[in-house]
Amino acid sequence: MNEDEILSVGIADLPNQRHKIVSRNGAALTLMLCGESGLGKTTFCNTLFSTSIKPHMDIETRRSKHMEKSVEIEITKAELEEKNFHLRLTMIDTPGFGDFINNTGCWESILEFIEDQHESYMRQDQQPDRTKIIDMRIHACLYFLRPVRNGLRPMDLEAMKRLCKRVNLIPVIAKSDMYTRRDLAMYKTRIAQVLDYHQVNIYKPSIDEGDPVFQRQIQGIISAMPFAIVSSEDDIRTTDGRVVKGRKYPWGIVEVESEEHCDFKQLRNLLIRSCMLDLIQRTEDIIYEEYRQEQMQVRQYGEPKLRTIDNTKFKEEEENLRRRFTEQVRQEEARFRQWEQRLIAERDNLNKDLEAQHVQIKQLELEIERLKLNSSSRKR
Amino acid sequence: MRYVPRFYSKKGQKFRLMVTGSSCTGYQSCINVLCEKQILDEQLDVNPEEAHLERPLKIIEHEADIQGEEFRVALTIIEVCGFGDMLDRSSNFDVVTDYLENQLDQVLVEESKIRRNSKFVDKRVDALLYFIEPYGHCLSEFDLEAMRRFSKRVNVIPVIGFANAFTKEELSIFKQRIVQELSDENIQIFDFPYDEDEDEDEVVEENKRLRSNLPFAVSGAATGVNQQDFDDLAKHFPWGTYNIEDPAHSDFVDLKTVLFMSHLQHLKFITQQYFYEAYRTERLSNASLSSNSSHMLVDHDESKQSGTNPHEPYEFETHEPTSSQSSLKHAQSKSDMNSVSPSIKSRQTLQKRDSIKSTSSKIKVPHVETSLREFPQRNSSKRNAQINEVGETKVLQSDDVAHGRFENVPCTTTK
Repeated sequence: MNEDEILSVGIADLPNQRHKIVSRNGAALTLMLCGESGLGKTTFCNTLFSTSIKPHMDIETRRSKHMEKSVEIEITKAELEEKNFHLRLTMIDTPGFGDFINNTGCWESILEFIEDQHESYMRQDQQPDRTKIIDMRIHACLYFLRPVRNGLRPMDLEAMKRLCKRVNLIPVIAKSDMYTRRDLAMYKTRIAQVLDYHQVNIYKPSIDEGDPVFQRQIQGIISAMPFAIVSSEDDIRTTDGRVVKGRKYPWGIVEVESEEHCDFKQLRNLLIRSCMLDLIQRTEDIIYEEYRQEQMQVRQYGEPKLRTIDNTKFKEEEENLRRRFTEQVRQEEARFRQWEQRLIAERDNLNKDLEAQHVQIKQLELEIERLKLNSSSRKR
Repeated sequence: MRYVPRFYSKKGQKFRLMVTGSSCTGYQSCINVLCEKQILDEQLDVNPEEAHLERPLKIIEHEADIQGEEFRVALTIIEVCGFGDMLDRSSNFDVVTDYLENQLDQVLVEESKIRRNSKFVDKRVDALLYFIEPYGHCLSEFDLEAMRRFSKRVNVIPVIGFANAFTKEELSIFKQRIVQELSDENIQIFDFPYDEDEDEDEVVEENKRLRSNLPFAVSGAATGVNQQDFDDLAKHFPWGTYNIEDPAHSDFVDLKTVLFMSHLQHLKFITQQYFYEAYRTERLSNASLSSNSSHMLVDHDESKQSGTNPHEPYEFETHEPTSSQSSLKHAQSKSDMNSVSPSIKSRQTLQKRDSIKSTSSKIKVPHVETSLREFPQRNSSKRNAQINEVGETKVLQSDDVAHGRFENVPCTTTK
């Protein structure tokens, strides 16, 4: 007992101190939901935290979104609390992704947004006052997939290739209650094969933590990847009297929380319970550092970033402005020219008048001369 | 009681059905189940190495003989493989509309022939099944544009694929939205037209019911189903079993009845009487606008794309133009093939000829008469020389001289 008292200096209490600090500060999490419209992103967002964070888009907004020419970024912020722990949540949606008739390059604006966040953090970090940094670096990007026979569509593959370098990418099979178990298994293996072959690094949590319970959780998560999820905000009463979140079909009820029906629970574990800190740390330590390294090798300290990607909407506006500018310049020039011509005409008129006056003067002088001569001759 | 016309023939009625839909709709499985045969190839084993490559659009024709309890159909399925799967889908519409117009063209050309081919196969498409993806809360821009273009050339029947993705409420909302959008955009799909006064009551009832159920929600079978054995078509889930043939689960039975039994003749009728006639009117009035209406269509069996300009126009020969008007018309029709300016020039020359008519009657030049009969060409040059004397401008045009027709004009006056 004496020895124990001497030996315990208090180093082992450090985690408790950390715990106090963290639970006082709260945490911030930024998630991005990427995918075409109708795949259940908004529903998923509301189901994940068991509370309504984002409202669904009504039909008129949907129709008007179809007319837009580019993918938009929609940011929703919420503050959640559970047992006195605060979480500042930012959800980023991408309406318009993959919805147009011509979808080439639809991932450009998303990629630009992600890089902009890293860029903005970098610039703010270089300022003298670093206390008020606004950090919107994306910790995880959930990519909602539509599986096809051979695994992935070319568009999804392209987009995922680009995104995986700049953000923790988690592919998700949306609306998975459409497919039978056998189909789902086939899709999962196919997708994993394709991603592996094309070297798309999706996010995989590491298993080398000591706690065996934790290890089993992680293993469960990894075996379910890519996740096949179902989301629902409605409460349904099942046949045996329970009230669960699910979807009610004429042929049965799908339970969102049941592990036999879908992988929603695993995904939620990954995002919140088990790996949230890992996601945040990986974003800050690995991805951001990589970005910073790249940029600093190419640019000097304090130099602004070159805009390589032009947003088509802005390009159109720029064109319009330029056209209007040239129009106005042309109009002004025409006006000046007219004015100049009028001045010249005036001058000519005045010159003519002058000339006429000169002629008159000359005539008068001649008259005078004549009269003089006459008078002088008469005198003689 | 269902209205089922009784048409029997040994070979089965011919029916050509076109199917379009992206691979997310599961249309291949649907069609296979509809026909109870493995027609469309579902297993596309693409290697992971090729997963990033886009497959180009292909139109594939499959023939099958479908037999049921009360019907027999010699079915041709025209599959548009890869529709809507690419990144840039704007050219997909044209491929399909070109195909449709091609078939209509071939029949048009065949009709206009003097001697028709007795073995001609009518390849007009009777109906187009447009599979809509089960995602989304409304029709996408791509779907609307596609249906707008296709509905001008063929009966479009929109169908929702993967019907088991919807709950009852979601499905009815989705259906309502689709119908609303289609009517807002004035897109005319095949909506079971009926006439309250002419048709029988039960026909009207049936059509009304079908119309209210539009668009049909169908689904395919699960994969791994034994290819030859189409008895067990249900999809088994951990939470229940989905049966395609159950009317509460999907509209599969309705679709099958409509396509192969009750409305097959109706669809063919509309194709022949409405779409073909409209196309014919459009083509022929286009042809008459670009050139004289006297030109006839020439059959071009070898050419794939039919242009609006016929290759060899028939010419109406006016040997002796009695009035300048007819020769004017002829000059116009002849020169129309090249460009506009020669015809204007020829009109000017004719007008000037008319004035020459009047002037030459005043000037009596006897030797012109005689030399006209012998050497027309030299005459014209002499005439032009006289024109110069008179003070008219030089008017000689090479093709006018070559015609030899305008020689007649001074002849009549001098006589």
